[in-house]
Amino acid sequence: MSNKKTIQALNEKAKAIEALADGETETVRALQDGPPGMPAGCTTVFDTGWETNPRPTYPVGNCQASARDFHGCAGDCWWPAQTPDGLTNHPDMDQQCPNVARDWRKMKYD
Amino acid sequence: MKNRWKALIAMTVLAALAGPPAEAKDMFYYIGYGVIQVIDGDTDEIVADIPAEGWLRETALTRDKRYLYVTAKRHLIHKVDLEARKVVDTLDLNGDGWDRFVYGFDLAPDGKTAYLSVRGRTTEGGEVVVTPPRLTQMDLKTGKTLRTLELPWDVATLTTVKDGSMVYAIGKDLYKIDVSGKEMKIVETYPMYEKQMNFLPFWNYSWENGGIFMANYYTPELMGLLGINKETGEITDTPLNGIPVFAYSVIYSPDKKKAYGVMDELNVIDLTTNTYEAIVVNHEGTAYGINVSTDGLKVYLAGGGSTLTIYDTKTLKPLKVLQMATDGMDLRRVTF
Amino acid sequence: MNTALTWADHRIVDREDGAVVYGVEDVSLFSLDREARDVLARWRLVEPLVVENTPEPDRSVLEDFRTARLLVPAGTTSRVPRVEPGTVPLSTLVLEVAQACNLRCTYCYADGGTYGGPTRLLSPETARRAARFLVDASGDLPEVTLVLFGGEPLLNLPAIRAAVDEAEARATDAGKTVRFSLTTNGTLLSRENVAFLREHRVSVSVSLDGPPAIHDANRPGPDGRGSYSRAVAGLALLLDGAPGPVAARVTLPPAQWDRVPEVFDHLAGLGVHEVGIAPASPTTPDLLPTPQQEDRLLAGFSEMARRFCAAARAGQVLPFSNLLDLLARIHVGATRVAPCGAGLGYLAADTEGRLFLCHRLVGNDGFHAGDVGQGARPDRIRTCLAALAAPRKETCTACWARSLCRGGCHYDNHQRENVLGLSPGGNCGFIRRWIQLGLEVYGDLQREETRWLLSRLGTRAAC
Repeated sequence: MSNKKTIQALNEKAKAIEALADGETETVRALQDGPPGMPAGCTTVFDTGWETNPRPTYPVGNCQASARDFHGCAGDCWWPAQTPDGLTNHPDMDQQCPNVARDWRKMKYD
Repeated sequence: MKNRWKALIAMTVLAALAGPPAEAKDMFYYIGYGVIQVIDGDTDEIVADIPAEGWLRETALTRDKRYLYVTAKRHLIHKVDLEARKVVDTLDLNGDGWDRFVYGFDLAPDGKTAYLSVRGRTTEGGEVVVTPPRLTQMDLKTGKTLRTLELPWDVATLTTVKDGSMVYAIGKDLYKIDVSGKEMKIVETYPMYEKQMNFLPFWNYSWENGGIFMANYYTPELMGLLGINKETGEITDTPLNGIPVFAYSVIYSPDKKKAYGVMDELNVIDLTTNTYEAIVVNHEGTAYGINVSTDGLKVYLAGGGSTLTIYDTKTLKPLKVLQMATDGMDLRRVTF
Repeated sequence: MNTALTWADHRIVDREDGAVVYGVEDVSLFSLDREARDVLARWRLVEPLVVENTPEPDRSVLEDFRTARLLVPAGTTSRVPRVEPGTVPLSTLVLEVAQACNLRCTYCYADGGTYGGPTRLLSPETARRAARFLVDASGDLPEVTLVLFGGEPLLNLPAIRAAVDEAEARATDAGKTVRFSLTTNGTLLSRENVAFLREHRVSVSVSLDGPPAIHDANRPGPDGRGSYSRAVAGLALLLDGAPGPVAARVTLPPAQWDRVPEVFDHLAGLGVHEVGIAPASPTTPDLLPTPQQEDRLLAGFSEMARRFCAAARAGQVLPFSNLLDLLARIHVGATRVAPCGAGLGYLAADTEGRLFLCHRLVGNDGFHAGDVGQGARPDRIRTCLAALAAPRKETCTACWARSLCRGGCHYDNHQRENVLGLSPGGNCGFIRRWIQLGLEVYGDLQREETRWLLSRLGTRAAC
């Protein structure tokens, strides 16, 4: 939010929406929408989707840290649209960063 | 005083009943990326790194426990000398204009040949040509294909059974293939598809699992354990009661009274009632592979992310977390 | 995480110092200063938009738009929650006390008060059954409303007394409160019945159409003589020492749509506490307005809105019900799930105790939905509502006014589409212009000197 208020809530609904936003921080985005427990998002590289947790256990309704599933998905093209494809175009992708949680910044692929 | 003696005696008897021979030693092999890391099961320390090219997948152990074969990038086969702790030979299935993809891999009992399920891909006139999986018997010394059998499209993983006279290949159904004669042929189909059994063909354990090749499967209602006795070829289907847990892989406790499964939780399955006894959220997050110590006191979760977590099977509390060099695919145990 | 965003469906009302933006889905209203208005103009057509990739100072303003949920993640969809008939407790029952009338209003949708067929009166027994049905079907609601309606309800005092008596007794037993309201043409009001209405706190609306010339033309008796003097005499009885507000309800056929301010002034001059003006329903083709007539009605409403704002600046509330109701809904920002309560907490019963979706659809077998003895039939209600909504499904989905409207009056739609054979949506233009006017007025009321009115709107919305 900018310091100077360029947009102001007028009616009660608008104020309620702003109040909702107050609790949000910029590092976390709510992915959940629709049926309880199922996120709406999961399309970026690190949200491969498989980790969606539909069970009433931790992390409820959220994704597991999908970095842990990255290479498993990448090598075998398990999620070809979202991870580099290890069978054809990126057979040596794992060499760039064999430890995703530690070295993900080194990863380069198209 | 008297009571203390009694307790000591009881403990000794228990240890003798449940424990392995004193000289047995567990070594764990962490199947990583470009590396296999060796963990000593006594100290739970990483004791060696074995460089091995590529993203590693299937593993098979020779009967004498000297060599571990590991597939990589779906087209390399590494022969790892566990004594020398190094890759001593690598076969590449690609060549003569074909890309090949290995999905199932197991050794013939003599360790001289291997059975693979291999898909092929090439281009002809600018068009991609893909072949269905072929059961391939390969000479591991020369890399020569000895014979092949075309398999249904769905086949992925496989295992040898009945002292190498049969191969069971698993996809939508389980195909029993007689390989004892000159020609290999499918002799029976064990139906899974019509029973709505879904089987993830990546993680299975046999030599650490009392000779039972085992993986979990799902139907819309339940999770079950599919076991194949490698010696007799007998298939056991153990449907579990209750809302299914999520698991990539499962393994028996050494006494086979329990099974452990893992994905985001460590699941303990009571095999006397076929119910879930405990579900414990993983200390470090998702894991692919699971293994147990020979004495049944420790369970090891690894693969997925780059951690290996060792749990106490009695308390289900983590005893130790090892930070591995790379992410991983699986963890195998060899007991020397 | 750089999220691709799209602009949520919105409507901009430009003002001198910026703009007011209306979030269509949420019924949210935000004012923009000039900078924010410029940023909106620059980026409004860029989709998908990744805020993190935009330059400052626009980026911070775009962040504010995101906070306001005017920028939402691409692919965000929203669904109108479905309300299932039968799951909503009954809160209001309109009781046709008399399907008969002593007047013959030119625009009457009820065929001289009878709703078709012979004149008939509600029996006291059926009145009591209906009152019990209302209380019994109200679930855990603490309060219910019984509307005494007709025809002219004061033609049937025995049924009114029976209904009020039974409703009060039944509600007391159930630990609930019952509110009564009555709509009358005013000609039959007497000291006695006014006393009864006050005793039971019945809130009364009188149908009055304005100055004598208009009123008499619209509301003659069977002999053709106007009813103005008799209605105003009745009104005087009501206003004399009135314990609560008395409302005038005006109906104007299109030919008189240019006379709104004049009608309002006249009635306010008579001392009524609030005036609501309804355009007559197109019961016959000659009551269908021309576009010019619609323009005139809007012009009249706009003039009322201008006067409303002026009054507000002077610390007064101009008692124009139409605008007060619309502003109250905009103020709260509640999104509608249905155009009205018909069949969803609101039902009407005729003199035989048969239930219909609403008072205007009484007597129409196509909208018959149970009876007060057996109860309402959710299956019938569901079918009726689905059939009524079907022709508007697509146009409503794309309409910016949808969250405040949800399709307009069932009766008017039915009349236009099924009786007169017109294509759907004939009323939409008018409704949108009216809501737009409400948004503009609401924006105007944000000034310092008129802000006091807003909290009062909240109170009204809660009623």
